[in-house]
Amino acid sequence: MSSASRGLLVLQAGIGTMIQDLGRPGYRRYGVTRSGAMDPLALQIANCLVGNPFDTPCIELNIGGADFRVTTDSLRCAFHGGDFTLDINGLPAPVSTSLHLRQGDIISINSARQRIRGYLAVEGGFELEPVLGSCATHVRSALGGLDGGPLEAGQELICLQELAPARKEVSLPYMLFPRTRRQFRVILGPQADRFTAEGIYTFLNTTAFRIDKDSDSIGYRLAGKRLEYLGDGNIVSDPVVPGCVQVPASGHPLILMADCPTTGGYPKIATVISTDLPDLAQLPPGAEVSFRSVSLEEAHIARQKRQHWLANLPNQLITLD
Amino acid sequence: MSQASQLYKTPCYSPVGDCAMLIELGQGINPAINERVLQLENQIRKLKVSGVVETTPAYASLLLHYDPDQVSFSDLQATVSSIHLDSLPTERQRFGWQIPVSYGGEFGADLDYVAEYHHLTTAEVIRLHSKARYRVYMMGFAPGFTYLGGLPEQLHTPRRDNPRLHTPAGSVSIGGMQALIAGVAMPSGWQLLGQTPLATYDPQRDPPFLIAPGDEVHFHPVNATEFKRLEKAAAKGKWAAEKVSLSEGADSHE
Repeated sequence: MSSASRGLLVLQAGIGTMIQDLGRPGYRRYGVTRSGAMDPLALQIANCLVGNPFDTPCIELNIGGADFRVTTDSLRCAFHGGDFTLDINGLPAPVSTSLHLRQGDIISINSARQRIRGYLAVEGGFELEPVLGSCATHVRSALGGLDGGPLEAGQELICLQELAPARKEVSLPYMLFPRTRRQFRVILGPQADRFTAEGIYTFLNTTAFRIDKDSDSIGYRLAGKRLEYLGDGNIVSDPVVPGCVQVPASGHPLILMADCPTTGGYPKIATVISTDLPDLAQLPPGAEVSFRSVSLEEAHIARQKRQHWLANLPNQLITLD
Repeated sequence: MSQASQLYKTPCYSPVGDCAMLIELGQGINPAINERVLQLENQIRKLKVSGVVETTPAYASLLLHYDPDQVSFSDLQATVSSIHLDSLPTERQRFGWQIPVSYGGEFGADLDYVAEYHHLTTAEVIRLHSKARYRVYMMGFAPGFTYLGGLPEQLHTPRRDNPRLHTPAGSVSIGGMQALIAGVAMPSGWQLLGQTPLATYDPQRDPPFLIAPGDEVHFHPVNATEFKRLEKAAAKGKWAAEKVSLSEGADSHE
């Protein structure tokens, strides 16, 4: 290998393999969605495992697997998130653990099944050109990443750090992972008054809405009971955020996800709280979900707890001998 | 889309999840309500209201993205309600934009349909569309998507039954009572009248966005040759649409 190669070569990549960070805030008034990782918590954990600032861009995998070859002298990486499994040079290797790799090593990430977002972090991060302040790939508007799109075989990501410094590796034990849920907490509104009492009752008491196959990083469609609303079901477009549960004329809810537009023209019955959204984003089409209404106070307490957990994460890691 | 518009006596504040507050100032598509939305946004930005991290204005509402560690919903609501819009001078910088459009043919696949739908000639549709004055109500949906009000009633046209899977950046289209300039290529169900060589959004340009909510837009027809000339000039950074200041004291005439 020539000394000009300094990173990770993409050998094979599932269609959803792309660069993500914590998103692109500040331009929503011009129609630019925040986007960023579908599971920002998992991205931050992956970064923590290699000692990166938590918002360092990582490689996001969505269901599909990917293979990479190390083309720099050495690097330290960690994979976290979803139920992907990992092989190094064809042998099983631990996830949620930092790994010291050398030139020529092959990283194979095998596709996920029940939890479908995973993040490969590399110590020091990659050489990338931020667009509007972020490296997050937003495929729909061709923004971020290497060229606005997902990663493809043959592309090479350059590591900013040429050598991985020698030190003990770390791991996050499985029992310390944040607990996963199937019932997601929501704050009702801002247009809950556009729905009949029965519509709201149905939304909060249906035990299993199924995530439709026609779901992606823009929105999750929910199959199951229809939600009854008042009026014609259209509103003058107003701003939306990821987590908003829009109900179009069909009566079937659509939960907006990380890559959603900045505005929408359908009434929103509720919004999934920010603490629970990363966990929802892990679920694949076919999974069943339900919702529970909470107060703003409860949502803020949950958010604070999560922030404390993240801030304390470096102390939770186990050092491997 | 609701036609009736109304300014609320007091704004309505509601949580959108745990990190955003929706302030509804009224309902419907109305320049006076939209102007108040932008005035309020401007004032919140100017005062650097504590805890507000981003603002998204729309037709009749404003979304404040806030950091709950810095400010509570109720404190933020109290701060925002203490801003008296009536006593504020309109000091926002506004511009009027002259935007060239190549109508019909490969640039506007629905021009013939729109003409037929309204029993007009295509020339009449172009004349009606290009002589109107449009207000930029909001930028939304996707980068540089510019939502315009002021479409002459004779041109109000329902959206397509089958949305197109691809429409190019710069598409100039209409849907219902609204008009639109597309900032990037997107699937769209709106009726395509033409295309402009002006990029309302270009991440390589400084600034990436030219037009802002509250601005005024005028279209003028250009032929395909002129379209291509302007497109080339824009790519070299040698052309961007003409603009005039519409702020206090400025004449809107070039």
